[in-house]
Amino acid sequence: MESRAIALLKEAGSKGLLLSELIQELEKSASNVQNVIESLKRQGYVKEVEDQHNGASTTRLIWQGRESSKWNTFNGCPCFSCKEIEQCGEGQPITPWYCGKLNVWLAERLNPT
Amino acid sequence: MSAREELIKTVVIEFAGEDAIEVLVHLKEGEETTDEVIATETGMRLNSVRKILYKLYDLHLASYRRTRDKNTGWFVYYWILEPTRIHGLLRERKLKVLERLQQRLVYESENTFYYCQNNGCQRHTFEEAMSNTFKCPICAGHLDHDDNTEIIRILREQIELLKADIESG
Repeated sequence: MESRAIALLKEAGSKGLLLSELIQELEKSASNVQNVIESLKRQGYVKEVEDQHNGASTTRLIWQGRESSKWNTFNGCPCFSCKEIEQCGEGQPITPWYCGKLNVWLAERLNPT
Repeated sequence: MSAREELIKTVVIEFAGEDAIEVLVHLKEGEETTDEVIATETGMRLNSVRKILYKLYDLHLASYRRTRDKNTGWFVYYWILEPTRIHGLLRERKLKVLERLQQRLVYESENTFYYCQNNGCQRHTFEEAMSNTFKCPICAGHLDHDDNTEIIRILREQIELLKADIESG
């Protein structure tokens, strides 16, 4: 049910879905849907905003995107963690043309072991 | 620990070192704390705590409010964690990396290279090799043509992956 809920919330985009709409779409009990939403909220994937529907106060759910706990450094490209990146570039003391770390990374990509 | 907290921890270790984690865990989102409180709670030296806080500030992951203590006349800094800025920080870094990889791609595409078979020696552009009559300036070994087609392919591939990732937000 979680993956279906995620798909529906993603599809709704920044407009989001009312909790009642989600319950209706999923055809599950309100408490089951609420449990899934609570879990998604805890993980930071969904945010709740107060809304009015037919004169009544209700909850709108907006998908915020699945956050990755991993830092994608694209196969370990050293530039991502390089502390000298601000001094690196054309006409700078360090350049990506001669960078030893970048050369090693490229060599490893050429000859993966 | 949430996915975001894990990500912040990884990035902080990389940029500010392992010690920064001690300070990071004492910083809260939406709840101010001072450097002195963190120093007391962690048992770290006040100067070390301050250094780490400024590193986190440089990474935009922490911010502060400054007030003057009426009794001592000294400034008091109230620190707060800014976890939502992690995505901005990573996006900014991706753009910088993209620019460096593109510069390298242009360099590889616009030059012809020669290399010395001695492992410790550098690669040379055609102009450099010609001015040294195709002899290595370090070991005087013969310089051979270096086919960089694969390097260009790898760079293009990584650039495309990185661009797609940046565009997907």
